[in-house]
Amino acid sequence: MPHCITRRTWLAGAGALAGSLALPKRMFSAEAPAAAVAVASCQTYGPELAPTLEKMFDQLGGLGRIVKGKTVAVKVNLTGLPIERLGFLPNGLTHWTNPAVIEATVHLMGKAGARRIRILESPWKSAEPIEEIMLQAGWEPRDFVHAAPLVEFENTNFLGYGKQYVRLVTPHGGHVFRAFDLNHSYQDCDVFVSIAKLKEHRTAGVTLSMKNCFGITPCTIYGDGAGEKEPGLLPRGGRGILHSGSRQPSASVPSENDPKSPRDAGYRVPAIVSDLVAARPIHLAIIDGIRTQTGGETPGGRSIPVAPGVLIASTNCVCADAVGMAAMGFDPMADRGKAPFERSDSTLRLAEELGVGTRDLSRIEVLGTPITQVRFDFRNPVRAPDPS
Amino acid sequence: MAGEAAKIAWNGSEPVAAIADAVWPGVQMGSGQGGSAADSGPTGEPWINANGWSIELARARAPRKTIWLVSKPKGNRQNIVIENAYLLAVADAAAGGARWLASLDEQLTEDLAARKEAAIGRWQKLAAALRYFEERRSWADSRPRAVVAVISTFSGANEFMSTEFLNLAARRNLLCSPLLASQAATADFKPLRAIVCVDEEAPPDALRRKLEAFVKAGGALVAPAWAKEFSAGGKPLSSPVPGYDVWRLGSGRVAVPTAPWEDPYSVAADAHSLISHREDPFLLFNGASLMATYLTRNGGGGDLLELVRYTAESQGQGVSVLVRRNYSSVKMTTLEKPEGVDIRQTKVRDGVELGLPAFGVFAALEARL
Repeated sequence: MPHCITRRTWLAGAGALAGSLALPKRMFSAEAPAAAVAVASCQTYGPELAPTLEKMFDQLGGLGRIVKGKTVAVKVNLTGLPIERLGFLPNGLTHWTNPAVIEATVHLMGKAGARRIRILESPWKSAEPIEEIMLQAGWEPRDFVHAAPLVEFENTNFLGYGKQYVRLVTPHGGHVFRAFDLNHSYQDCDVFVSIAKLKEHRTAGVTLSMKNCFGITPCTIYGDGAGEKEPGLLPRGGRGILHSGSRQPSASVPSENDPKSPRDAGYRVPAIVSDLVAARPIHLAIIDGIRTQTGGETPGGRSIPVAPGVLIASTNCVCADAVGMAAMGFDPMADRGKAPFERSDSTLRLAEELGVGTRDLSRIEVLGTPITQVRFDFRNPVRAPDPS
Repeated sequence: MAGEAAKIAWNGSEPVAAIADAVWPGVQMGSGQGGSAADSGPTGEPWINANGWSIELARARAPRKTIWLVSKPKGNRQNIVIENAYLLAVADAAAGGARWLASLDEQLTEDLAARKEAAIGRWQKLAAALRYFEERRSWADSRPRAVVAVISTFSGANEFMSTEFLNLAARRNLLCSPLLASQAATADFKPLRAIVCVDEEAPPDALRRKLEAFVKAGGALVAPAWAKEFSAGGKPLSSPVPGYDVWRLGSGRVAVPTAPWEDPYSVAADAHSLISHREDPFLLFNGASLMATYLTRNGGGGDLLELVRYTAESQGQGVSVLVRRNYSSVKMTTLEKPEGVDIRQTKVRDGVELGLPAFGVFAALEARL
């Protein structure tokens, strides 16, 4: 399988690889950039949502400066199967990005002059069109199509509409992978946006705007049943091999930097996520915490529906996630052994080490609603009432 | 059913036909880990053995015959608690309008002969299940609410792809009615929204013309390369599924694979996406271990949605169904509660959602218009 690597990408990667040999990774932490984070209290997905988001984007300097005239790739969180629910609740009220948040964001991007908006996800074990995944969950994808002038969808779990995978290089060599081969949509864009859910994660502690990007990896390469030599044609399983390290991805793509590194998912998943957001930078991170669930990324176990009533946005994903963690009642400086990282390393710390952004709240300007006013204790939650 | 189907005299005068090699229903367990690990299907999902699709095909071949299933329990290689195993065998057959030819394992037979209390209890539950369905025999006259037909000879070189398509489509809750190629030219296409032609060889001219008219009137056709003949005068469309050429013809559309079909799982998944879940008459949530049958009651006035659970017990999260029709009332009966309970309908954008109370092997939703 040939790969599409631009000269600019190759030079950046080559420089980064050389740099990674010379510099200890932790040196980048102190230099990790800080960006403002907009926080807003928002209790429903009703009429208050779009104005609230618009105000937040304005607080960040306006959406136009980010998207005007650009092709925007929007990674949403549709984790698990579309037919899996927490009780009888629609997925958008528990573990999926709510469709109203996606629609409002797409609308505002269109209004701000985005040239093309492409909604992306790699649904679990599936090569089905994203629109079909949405329909299975009871969503109406035409809502998104009608929200802005040019809206497209792509399932990025495989080659999709691309002719070849694109190779994105991890700056500073990465913790686990020095480069990833991904669906073309992650390169064929000017702006990359992660619209995540405010959730805990059973393996990685939390899943916010960065962990949302674990799903940009195509399972034809990084999934169970991936081709041994070349990428498979279709995804045949989940991302178990990224969790466990039980095998390397397809031989045609860069393998792990150190196949003898720990096979512990609590190390691997946060490290791989931080590599991914370094390789595929997020220009705008949006976290939907209006209604969500506790206890994990998908229904099950001790999950209950909750209504923190908060929206978070930033141009820096580490800063957004740090504020998100604080809004969940966690310390963003926490690391392995301390909640929510009882069994894992901190993705925030690992991304900070790669120079992606700071998790230090003292360096992050919070705009809008103070964190103290939106804090919702995920470890001592109040169950949300059933929606009327 | 492969092989055995050819031996059955579908056109004979006998009032019954037996599927002699029906599968024992349940989640298929692998031989590893002491037989406790579920075998996976093509996507890694546990593989469910079910007979619904073969009953549908048998009913298409012999619409006036009573279909009987002959299957024997397979001991501990099925992930189903033994008390429920026979209930599942009964429900699996009855949900398709067929009957299960009772076949007991040796241990149960011996224990019944010895009049052991536990065995008698199991027999009584089995008898109650049989009674439940006998009291509802009129359900067998209901018509499938499928809006998709699968046309094939279902025999010879076409048998593998066509029958596996039916099997795998059922696992996806893609409700399909098998339509024998020999009967398709005279069949009524009006209730259909989509047709999948599985056989590689082109159908006779009369059927091709009928398919063309179906598409021009707004239907969707998914068919092998021979259907490219319909592209003349059509307008190319962007395919929602890589590997297909799609074009508009009249008010409908045609999708043809760019390479011959090989994997029936992919064909079923592709066809479902090409037709679109928008056409699904219902959506089933938290029902990965369930198979559904959706029927219109004979004489009108209501529908029947039957749910059969193929795993040992419910999976924790409540099962709910989104149906795209408004009903005046919905009542759920189960083997445990044959008297039934009323189900509350919650209006949603595209229909109503029904949150179901916990149930065991089988539930039927009787919906009145």
